[in-house]
Amino acid sequence: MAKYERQYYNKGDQISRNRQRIMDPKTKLEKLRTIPDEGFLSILGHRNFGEAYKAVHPPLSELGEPEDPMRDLVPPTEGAKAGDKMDTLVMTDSVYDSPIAVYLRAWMLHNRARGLDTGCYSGRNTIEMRARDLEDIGRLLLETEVCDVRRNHLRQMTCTGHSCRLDQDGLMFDAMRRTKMEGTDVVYVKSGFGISLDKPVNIGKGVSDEELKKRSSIYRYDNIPNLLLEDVVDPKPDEKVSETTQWGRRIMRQRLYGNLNPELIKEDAYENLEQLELKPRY
Amino acid sequence: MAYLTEKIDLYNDRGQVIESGIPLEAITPVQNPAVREIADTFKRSIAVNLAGAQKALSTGHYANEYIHLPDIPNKADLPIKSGPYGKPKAVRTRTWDVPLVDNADKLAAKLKDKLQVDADDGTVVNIMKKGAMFYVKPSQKLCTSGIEYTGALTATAQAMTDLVMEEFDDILDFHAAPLVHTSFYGRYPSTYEFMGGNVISLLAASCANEGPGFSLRNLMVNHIVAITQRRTMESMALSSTLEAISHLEMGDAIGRWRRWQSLVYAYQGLNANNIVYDLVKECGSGTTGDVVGALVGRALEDKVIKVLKTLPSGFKFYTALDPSLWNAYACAGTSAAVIVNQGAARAAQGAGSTILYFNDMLDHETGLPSAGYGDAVGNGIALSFFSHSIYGGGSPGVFHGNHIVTRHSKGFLIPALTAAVALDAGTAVYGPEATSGLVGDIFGGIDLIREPMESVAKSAAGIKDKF
Repeated sequence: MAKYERQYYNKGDQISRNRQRIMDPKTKLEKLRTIPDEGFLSILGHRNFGEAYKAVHPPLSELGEPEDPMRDLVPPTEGAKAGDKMDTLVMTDSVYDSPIAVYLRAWMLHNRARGLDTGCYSGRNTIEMRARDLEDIGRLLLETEVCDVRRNHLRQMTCTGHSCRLDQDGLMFDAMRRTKMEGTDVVYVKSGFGISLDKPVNIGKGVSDEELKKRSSIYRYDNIPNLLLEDVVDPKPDEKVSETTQWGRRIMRQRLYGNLNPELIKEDAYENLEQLELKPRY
Repeated sequence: MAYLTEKIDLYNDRGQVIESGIPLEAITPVQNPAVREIADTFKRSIAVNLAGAQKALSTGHYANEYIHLPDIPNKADLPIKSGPYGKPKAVRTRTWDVPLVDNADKLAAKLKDKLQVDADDGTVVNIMKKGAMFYVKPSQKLCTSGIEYTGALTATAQAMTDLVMEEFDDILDFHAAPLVHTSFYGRYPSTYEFMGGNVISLLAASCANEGPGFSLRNLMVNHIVAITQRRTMESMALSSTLEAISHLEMGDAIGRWRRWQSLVYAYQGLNANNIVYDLVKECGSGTTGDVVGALVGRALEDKVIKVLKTLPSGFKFYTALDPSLWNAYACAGTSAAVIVNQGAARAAQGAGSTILYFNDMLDHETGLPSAGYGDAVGNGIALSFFSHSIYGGGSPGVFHGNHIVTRHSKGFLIPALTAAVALDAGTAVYGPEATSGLVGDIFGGIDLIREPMESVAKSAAGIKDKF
């Protein structure tokens, strides 16, 4: 049988197409900028430029792993081989037409990275990995199209601001003032931890507001208004709502019915049960 | 009751078949003799920390309890014994130097005599660590005559208290009895658990369980990893076995859920039809997302799911031809994803994240509910929070099924977590070496428990013709 081709996400509208594109690891993300090593490490704030990686245990070759077929099948990452300590990176994404959103980050990384621990929490996405693996991923997150310099910031702490109004120049609010605009460019004057940098790091200029609207990955009242309305204000039957809403309804029903009786998610049982529902409400 | 007659093949962790053509019924805890023996071993196994009891009696630190004193000028002159950091800390109560460890041989023989009901009834008292420890397995009759599982612990603790009072009556007087009691039982009955006791059972006191049937779910993940000596799939199998027994005890494996639960145990825990192994082999150098693709491909190939309809954009909704089997596939995939992602990092901490996003991506991929029909997503997100610092969580290794976060999973969460901890190379503060060295020493020597995949499969083959 032919290898299964993944679909990742529906492609029913612009937002879901943007999401699908970012999740699919076969899409090569466009590289928009290159941040010099020294600048990148100073923003990240874990290690000085030129400093060795800190280790939490000896390298695996010295440690000697127990006999286990699973360990033979799964090769460790470079960071795990060297015994690096686990480091953290936190990204905050504005709700105003950001090219990526917190939950989408987790999906993207689980499709594109190995050896990952990530979690989402009100407007921020935390990634924990072995130090050198984290730096590789950090570059992906800051240098490619998934980062618009004004709407996506690296903030190791005090991440609040994702839903606050933007500054006049389109910069996301930051209680610690880590970033500022210099002309059209965004400059990090503090590290992610809020410590002032000796050399501010210029990470270039963001894309235009029109382009951001096209790249947006968040459903909003001002891009696809019906998505919110169709489920709340004016409920419509499955065939007439967007594919994202269809998926949501289907999965929620199946979770409900499946937990009543495991066999109810079989399609014929499911159809029969649907007749019991109050039709007008959907 | 109708038997579950569908056939499965059981494979080991090298992908080789152990037994084939096993009816599903033969691996269920109600039928499989090896599973029942595993439960019996955990129920009857007791460790006596003889050196700990001797230290308690000689220092006055009974049940790890200290009476802390404020800093006062003449503190050093008080009749106070030194605390752990060399500073006077604890009030000196009555103490005796009782040579328990030196007399371990004599005590072991007499303890066996007390715990035996009939001659040669399988009572075991093994001396470990040069007399510092006993491994005790009281008589079967003694432990199972009642209806609760605490008999093994209380019988052993009471036997030790009596024994020490009898043997050392030249050192200990009548009034020492309560303190000897405390040195073995711990703070019980002042506390409802046996806090700080030197007679230790793997199972907690029944009142410490979250609810009925949770006793075997109350085993820390670290213990299971230590017992199986960090062998990933064996530890997953042991963990899954304990969960399967517990779910039977909790009333979760009855009626329409019986086949559902048995399939989860077979496919996730016992590597039925080699699914977990095949997924890890295919995606070992890949990501969590690759396991999603491989799992859906396998389910389509095995005709567990099929395409239901295609939406205008080309997105396909799938439907389950066999919903219970689809759930078992999703559980097997969850474990494979954890092995692939946490194996790559050789660090356990991301298990919650992988469980959550693997199942969430599976939902989005197929339009079918993932493991536990949504339970895995909920459990994964709660586990991510509780195993990281802001909610004061411990590392994944100190979790068990008897926890507010993990109790809702129907047997599939703790095995995946166990796999992650087994693959950890030493990033956790409370790893198996720190918390479970003794448990590993005691149970690691028992083949039945160290290699549950083999023992359950062989035992199932022995009874397969009955169904």
